[in-house]
Amino acid sequence: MASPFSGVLQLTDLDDFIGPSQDCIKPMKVDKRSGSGVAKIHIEDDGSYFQVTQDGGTRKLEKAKISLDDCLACSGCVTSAETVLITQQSHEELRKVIDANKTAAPGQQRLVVVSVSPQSRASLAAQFGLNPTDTARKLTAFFKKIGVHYVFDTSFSRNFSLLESQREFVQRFRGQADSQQALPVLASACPGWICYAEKTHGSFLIPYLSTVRSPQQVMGSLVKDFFAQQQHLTPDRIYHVTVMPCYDKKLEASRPDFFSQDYQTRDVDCVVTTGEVFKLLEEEGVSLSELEPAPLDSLCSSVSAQEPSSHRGGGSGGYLEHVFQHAARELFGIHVDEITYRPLRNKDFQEVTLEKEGQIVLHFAAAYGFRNIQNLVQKLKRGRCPYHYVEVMACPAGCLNGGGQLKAPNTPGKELLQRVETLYSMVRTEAPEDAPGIQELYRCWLQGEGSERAGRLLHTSYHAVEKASSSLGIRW
Amino acid sequence: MKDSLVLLARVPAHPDSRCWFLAWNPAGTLLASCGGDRRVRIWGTEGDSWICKSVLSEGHQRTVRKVAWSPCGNYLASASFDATTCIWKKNQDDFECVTTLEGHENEVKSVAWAPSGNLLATCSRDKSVWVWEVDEEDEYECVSVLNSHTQDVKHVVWHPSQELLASASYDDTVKLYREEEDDWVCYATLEGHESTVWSLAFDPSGQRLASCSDDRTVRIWRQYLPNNEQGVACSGSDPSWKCICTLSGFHSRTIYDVAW
Repeated sequence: MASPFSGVLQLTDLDDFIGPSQDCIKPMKVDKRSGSGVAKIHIEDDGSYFQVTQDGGTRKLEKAKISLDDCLACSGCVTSAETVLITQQSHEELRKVIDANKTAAPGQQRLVVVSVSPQSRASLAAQFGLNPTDTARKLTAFFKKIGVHYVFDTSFSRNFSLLESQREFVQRFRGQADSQQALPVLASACPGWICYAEKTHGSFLIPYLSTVRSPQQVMGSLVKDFFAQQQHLTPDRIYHVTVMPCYDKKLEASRPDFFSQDYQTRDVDCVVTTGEVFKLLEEEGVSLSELEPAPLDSLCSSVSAQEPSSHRGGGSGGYLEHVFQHAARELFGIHVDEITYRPLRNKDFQEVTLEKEGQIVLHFAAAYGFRNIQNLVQKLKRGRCPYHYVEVMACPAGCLNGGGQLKAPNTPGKELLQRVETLYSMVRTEAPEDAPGIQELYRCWLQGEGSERAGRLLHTSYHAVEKASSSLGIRW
Repeated sequence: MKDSLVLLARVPAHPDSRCWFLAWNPAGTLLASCGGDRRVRIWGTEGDSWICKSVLSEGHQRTVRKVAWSPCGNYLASASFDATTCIWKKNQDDFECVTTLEGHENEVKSVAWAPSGNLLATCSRDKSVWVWEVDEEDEYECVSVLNSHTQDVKHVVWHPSQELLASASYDDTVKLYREEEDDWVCYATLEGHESTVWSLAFDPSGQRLASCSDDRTVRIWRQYLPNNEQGVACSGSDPSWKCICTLSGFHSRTIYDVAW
């Protein structure tokens, strides 16, 4: 009998030398029926499976499926084809939707919205030798040329992520007496880190994670809730694509928490990496530098910036800096202008302190890369973590160095990264509370800071992944 | 040659289970053994007989696969299939577990101390090699996670005098690592074995590396420094390692271990 699963799922080796720990994490629900247990399995020509019971009755068996929604990048993959799942969510999907629009009836067309991350833009800028503003405008022109209706910048939604992170930290810091797990607050914008935390140290780490949504997912809320209403469309009529510097963002977009049951639609329908946008450009035979720039779109009609804007604090969003500055002011009345980083054991692990009257009152850190995440988690587990807030990122050097960024065959990695970092920091920065349109959106769309709507649309929750209790657990 | 080995004692070391590894302490006075009973035992002589001086239990949940003494002889590391590595501190005849190194996703296959004494390497079926650093307060931190191998890593060993690490894997290769800036990198891959490489050993001078494999051969590799007189090409400032000898036909089955 041919099994649709790889041999990995069927390994039940009693020898503890090679443990059966390659378990698929997806629990399979089996409907147990009472009655005699003997049945035959019959395979039809089309590959479907039917269970034939002793009395001759047949029942079509459901194929267990693994989709990207289930994918937690664990090591127990049934399909051993995370790459297959990930390519299903690619620029080809975007093409399909755009092509479908061409032949669809007017009422059936979908509004295609693309949200570009500033990191992807910086990578493309480096590739084509353009400045960030030109890159943004030419990218807008390109997407509109192929059938996209609106092009936004996730730096806009990042304002919300930063503001909510600031507020959350101050709340948790003040609430230390009430909860043992109030601090440290661990930044949660990086899905690679979140997947790892949920899978490996679920119930231990989750209480420390920030509940603030990442800029990608805040944009999901903005596009599918606010913008949809503005356009008089239901969320499922919008196809929302984001352009991101890594593949892990595809997993984030597939999380059930970001799926609307009411409208059966995802907040972010498709994530394409910077590399995939480059492929799209190649397939269209377009060189970004040769395009005529187009005006930039903005979510708020009151905003009409023709230049992108960004935030200070590095290429991974600036969470540490924004939370630090705000906390220094709110909690200790100290105004911090320049933030001084102290590198620790390696350049991906740095700390920042705030002193008042000779005492350290705030102790923050930025931990990038797996080895530093390991050390941070071990310190936490031993009760030896001195930090109040940690900006955690899975990629060494942060998001600008994400796995989906462009590589240049003739330029050494370090040099290219430097160039991308320079281009990223060329964009003028502004404080998130001052960004045009933000206060208005808090007022009109969210009905106030800290409101129920703000909680629902700007925050999320995490789920520990259940592991087999013993690695010798054999499922017969 | 077989006639010149005389059996001195036969010691039942790990009741009802496999004894996986043995290690002499640097002074040569104690023998550590580990096995499928999840314990480590320390053996020493009392007059003419071998007695068990300590049993280190409560450290691991599964088979202990390997034990390694630190160069100073005061610490013992035990690598286990439970994915952890325990560090035991010797206090006369007692051993106390001072810390447990976690992080590997599954079975830890080997552990090795660097000659300098403040670096430790572990490797696992999760295909990775981890380098750890210990400070004066017995605090261990992960310095690097190396994911160069494509399969289960069976063995790690340090060079006797250089800060150079070697690993052997089910992917049929041997890889060499060194420190670069604030991280460790794989700078060479030794290919040639046709099956799993089970173990490695540097000769005392550090000039040669011996590897043994499931392909029933032992290969000897030699280090060539840049600008060597033999004219062996090197990439940049990294030494080159070439296979200078393949010993085959001496064993009819898998060779699991090798020592100079």
